[in-house]
Amino acid sequence: MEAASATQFEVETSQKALGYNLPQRMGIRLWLPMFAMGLMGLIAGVVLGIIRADEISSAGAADTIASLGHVQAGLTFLGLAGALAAISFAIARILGQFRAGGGELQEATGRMVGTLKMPFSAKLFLGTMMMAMMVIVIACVLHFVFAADVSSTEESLALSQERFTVLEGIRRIGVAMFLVAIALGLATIIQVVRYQSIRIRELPGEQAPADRTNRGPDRR
Amino acid sequence: MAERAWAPMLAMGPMLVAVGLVLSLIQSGESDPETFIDLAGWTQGLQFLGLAMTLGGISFLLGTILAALRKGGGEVQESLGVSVMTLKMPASAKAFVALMMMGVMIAIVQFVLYLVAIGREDPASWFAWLAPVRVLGVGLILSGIVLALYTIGTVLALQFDRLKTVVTTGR
Repeated sequence: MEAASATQFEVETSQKALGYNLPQRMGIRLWLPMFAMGLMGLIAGVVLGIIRADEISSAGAADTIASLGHVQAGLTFLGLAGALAAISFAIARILGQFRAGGGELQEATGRMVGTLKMPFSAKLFLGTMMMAMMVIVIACVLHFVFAADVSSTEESLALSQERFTVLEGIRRIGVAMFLVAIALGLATIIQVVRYQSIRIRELPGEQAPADRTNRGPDRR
Repeated sequence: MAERAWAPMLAMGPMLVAVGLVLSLIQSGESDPETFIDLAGWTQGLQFLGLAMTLGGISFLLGTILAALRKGGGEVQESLGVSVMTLKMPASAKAFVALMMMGVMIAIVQFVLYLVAIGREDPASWFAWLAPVRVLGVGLILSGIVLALYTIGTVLALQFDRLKTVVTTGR
């Protein structure tokens, strides 16, 4: 079987390691705030669920119960969106470690640095993740808007239930899109690992560039 | 433990979700209101227990990846004849394990509570607060997965750094 070669990948060659790109820098900064937002949203959802359950068991006002249902769903799914976004940002951070660490390792060996250009799966991962986030945020905002719009009339309660059902479908589409984005991120990791294992195998047999002293700052 | 447990969890999860699907189909054809609510409790409890098991399997897989990175990194250093440096278990890894276990426990508890609820006079109020509780369980497992991925990133950074040191200093 023919050994794989780095030439089958689209690569950017440089003297020095390229470091993190913009999405990876964002991933490094934003995973923790998203993680915190996720936990807060989920806990707020539980608290509101307990309050709503208390209203139901004490035969509270129907419009209050319907409003609380909307707000609870909105907060819970904002929490879920935060957790899923944190997973996506953590994946971007891992890809950043591969890019920066792999480049620095090649630079340390004195060879030319080959950095994988952003694969199509990574672009799709970013696009799908942003769309998923927008879908869930829009659904949650609509939940809050509709929560304020409920009155105690039968028509209003029926409309509220109908809106809830539609928004539930939209929220779940958002979650499914997030899971697709995460799968694309993991597929990108696989491509990066494949490229790096090939590149590391090629390094010992490669010649160092003829003249490195005139390019870039002195690294000693 | 992670290396052994991921496969059974990943197998059990979808099976429970499938059983929940079958029950929901039976529920959709049910005309008796009490049986309808009983089946609703079983369906929701089983499906979220199945989802939690699947996510738990993914968490164990991530633990297996961390174990492979630890073992592989040590073997590479040993084969190069340099002193082996291994990262002590970071706080993020401990938090990952804790969150994952809490999430799976909440999933099991919510399933049991659904069965308790369907035996009561007013299951609707129980269902009202069990819904966000089960999502909290799933959310905690997802949060654990976030920390596992963060730990993988940290381990990779250390390993690249160690390899660079070995290449430049030979130690």
